[in-house]
Amino acid sequence: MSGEPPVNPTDPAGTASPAPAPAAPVEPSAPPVLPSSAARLADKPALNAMAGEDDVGWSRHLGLPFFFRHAMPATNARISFWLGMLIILLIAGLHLLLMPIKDSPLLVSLRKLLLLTGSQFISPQEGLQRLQDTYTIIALILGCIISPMLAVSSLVQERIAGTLEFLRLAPLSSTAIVLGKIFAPGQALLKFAALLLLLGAAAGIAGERSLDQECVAMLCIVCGITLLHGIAGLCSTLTLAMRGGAATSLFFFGAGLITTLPATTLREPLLSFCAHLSPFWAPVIYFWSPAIRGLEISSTWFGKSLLVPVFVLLTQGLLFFLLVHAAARKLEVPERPALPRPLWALAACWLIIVSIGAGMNSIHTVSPVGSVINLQGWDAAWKFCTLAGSLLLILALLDHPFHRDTLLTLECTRLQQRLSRPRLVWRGLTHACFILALALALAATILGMNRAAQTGRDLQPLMAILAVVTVLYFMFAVILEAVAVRFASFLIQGAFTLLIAGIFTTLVVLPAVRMLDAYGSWQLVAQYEEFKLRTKGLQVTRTSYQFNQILSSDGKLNEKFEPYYWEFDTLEDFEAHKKQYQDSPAAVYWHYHQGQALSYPLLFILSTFIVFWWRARNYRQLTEEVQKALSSA
Amino acid sequence: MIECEGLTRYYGTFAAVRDVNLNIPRGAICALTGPNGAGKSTIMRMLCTLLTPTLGRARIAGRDVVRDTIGVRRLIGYLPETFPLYDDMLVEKYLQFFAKVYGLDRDTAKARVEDFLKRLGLTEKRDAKIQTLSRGMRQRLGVAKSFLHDPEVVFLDEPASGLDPVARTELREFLKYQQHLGKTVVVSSHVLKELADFCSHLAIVQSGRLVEFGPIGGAEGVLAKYAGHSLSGRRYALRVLRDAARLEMFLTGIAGPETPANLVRRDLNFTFEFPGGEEAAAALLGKITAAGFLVAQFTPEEPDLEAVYRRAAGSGGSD
Repeated sequence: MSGEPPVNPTDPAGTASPAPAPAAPVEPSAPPVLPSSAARLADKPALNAMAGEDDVGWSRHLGLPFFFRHAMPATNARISFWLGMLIILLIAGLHLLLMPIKDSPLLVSLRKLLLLTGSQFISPQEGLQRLQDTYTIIALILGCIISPMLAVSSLVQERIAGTLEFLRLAPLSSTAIVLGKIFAPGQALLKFAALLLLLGAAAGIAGERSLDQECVAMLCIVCGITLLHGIAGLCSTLTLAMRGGAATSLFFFGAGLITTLPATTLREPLLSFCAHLSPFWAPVIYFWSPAIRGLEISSTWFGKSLLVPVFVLLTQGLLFFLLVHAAARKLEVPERPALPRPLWALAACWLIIVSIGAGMNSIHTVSPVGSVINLQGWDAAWKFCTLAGSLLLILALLDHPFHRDTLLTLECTRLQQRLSRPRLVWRGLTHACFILALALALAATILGMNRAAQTGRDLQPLMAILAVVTVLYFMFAVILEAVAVRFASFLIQGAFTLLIAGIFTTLVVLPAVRMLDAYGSWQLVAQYEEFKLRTKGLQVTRTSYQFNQILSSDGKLNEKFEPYYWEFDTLEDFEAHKKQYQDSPAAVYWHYHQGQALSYPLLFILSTFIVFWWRARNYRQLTEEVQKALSSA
Repeated sequence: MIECEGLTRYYGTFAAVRDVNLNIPRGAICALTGPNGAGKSTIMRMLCTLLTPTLGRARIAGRDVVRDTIGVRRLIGYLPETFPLYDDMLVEKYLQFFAKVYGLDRDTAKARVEDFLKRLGLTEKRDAKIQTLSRGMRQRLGVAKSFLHDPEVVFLDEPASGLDPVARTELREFLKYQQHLGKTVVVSSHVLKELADFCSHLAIVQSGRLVEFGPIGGAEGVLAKYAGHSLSGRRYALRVLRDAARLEMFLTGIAGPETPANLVRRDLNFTFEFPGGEEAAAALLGKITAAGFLVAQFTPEEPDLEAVYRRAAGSGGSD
């Protein structure tokens, strides 16, 4: 049969050893005369890489080979280098001219001749600080905007053109390719930015800025620039839509988040360490705010300011690793999730650690009785964990393994191999269960932090909210799976997911809103009733604004409040009623709107059932589709 | 050297390649042929680690293409059917760039780039920008890049497309030379005449299935295999000195199971397929001469790769 061909005697197994020796030709009929150079080459060890096994790690291929692809012609490189140097000198010269040096007649006359102005700085120190600011701003523009943009453009263009496939044939890991591709295009700019930062730091130190603050600021800037390149790498491997335009937009969105979102924590002393994650905000914190705004920002993590650089380094390092790893995975197999589950779990763990670090930060407040309250850190921590955790969960949710093409392939192989299939109800639920586990872990952390923030606080409302949100995340994952099994088009998938997820969210949010509305109305009516009972027999004409609200123009109750009105004979009856319901919006809602209160959970259960039924139907259709394709083949 | 066991690749429900079993020995030049869309490129891309097989496994020199992608990539060179190049690079720089990517040291890289420029007729274009090269020159550059790092196994997908006849001959000679160096080469093409005189093995793919595989020549080869039998018999060439029209009527008028089929007449020359063996052919010749025709030539045609392909593809495989 075709699969059993005769085996060459020189290689009986056809497999030989992993590092094969030169072999004899199969049919050595009249071999051509070897040219001398070729003969020499044939004797040489062919490939350096062949000598050492698996020497393709990050250290060896840290993008270096790819720099040649983007190298400028020598003349252009020389011109650019000297132009850059000239700009640096010009900026330095300009600042020198503006220095308040009066005993140099040459400087004064030059200043008047060129700038038609006097000195602009109060002291030489200020001049040097401004010089650093100028250098830093230029370095930030080059490193944070232009260089990552070049990286996106280069990687996307190579993917569109297909030249990246040739690189993938080389003995390089996808991670090495991504690393090379994100740093190669802007390497000249990055070197220039590094020089500017170094010169700026030197000027800053000469201008009496503190060395440790310079170091932390430089660390934040360098880490930030690196992270933005990581974002550029991931964005350019995620999509090629609109000939790379979508990747560019995605990059701007990601870069916007990473540069502006941390700044929102700047005014919150307990969380201000997060602001260090933005390369644009590090100089603000250390240089500009104290000088311009007179604002001293003292950041701590785990209660120690020394740990802030550690936080920056570890967080940015982890984020960069995750981004590059995700980009490499997407480059290798686009249908695969960007990150494996252990790495999502690692990200969640780091988020919890960061939150705990924020919780350990504290503001010491002396209570009226004199005791020191030391718990506000946890208050900030649980809020931070809620926001960042939601973002993490949404990203993990979207990074699902359900691609219609992959599922069809799996089904084909299953049917062909006659392999047993997991039961329909459990099939594909691992992702939803993983999301649920992440959500539960984060919810538990949030609850614990909330408890630590204020002992004695009633946790029940928060527990209820978190339970509902956790279930919602699980349902979103199931919906995403069901939609992905059914539709191939990304747009239709998105539209359907939004529609169904919207229905589910409405089924949770709407009763909550109605419950709170009912509770508010009940409270108002109760106050009115209490007022009436307490002022029974008295001549009282004054009514509050709220009471006027519940009464219509003819003095009768408004329709909205009518259901909650219950005329009590005695104040005692009223007190008993109030005591029963005053702390429980759910009880009020149940008492007055039993139909609605019952219908929303029923609708939720019904919708859940419909989603699971639809999901099972989609899987069945998928199987039928495969069976049809296999039988026709 | 190249082993495939049950190699299968699905795109959704479409099986681009199914259950391909191959064992190409070291030093072989294997022609991978089949109609457009048969799955040749998919097989190559799986062997080159660019696509993951859905089922089955493949090994190059004992290295698994899924588990040891980096190890396999060190051993292989690949020239896809359409290969984009860095248009703004110079020819020599392009080769030097890939020499560095593959980890060749400076001296080796320089010598090898020089050698390939000379061998593939690119010396004059060494300082030209790639965007100025013709289709054929780009193809040569692609071939040079594929062999640059001295791979053990090279996959060439339609390497001769876009080449003029002289360049095709040069490419043939180049591949023969590579075979002499002990390289294993898999060439995909559906121009079988190009492959006939330098390939040692033939693999025919149709609708994703391997319908024929084996060495071309030798007693066990596919040519010998298909020389003895076919769907409608062995092909014969017949030439008469006159009365060609009458002979055509005579041949078509022969009744019985051993009737000449697929008769083609060109002036005094005929070709036809005859299902009988050599004795029956001799009897047929006797009938023709007895009928008064002056026969100048009556010879069986040796089957070529095209005939093998036609028959293998027509029968859906020899198994």
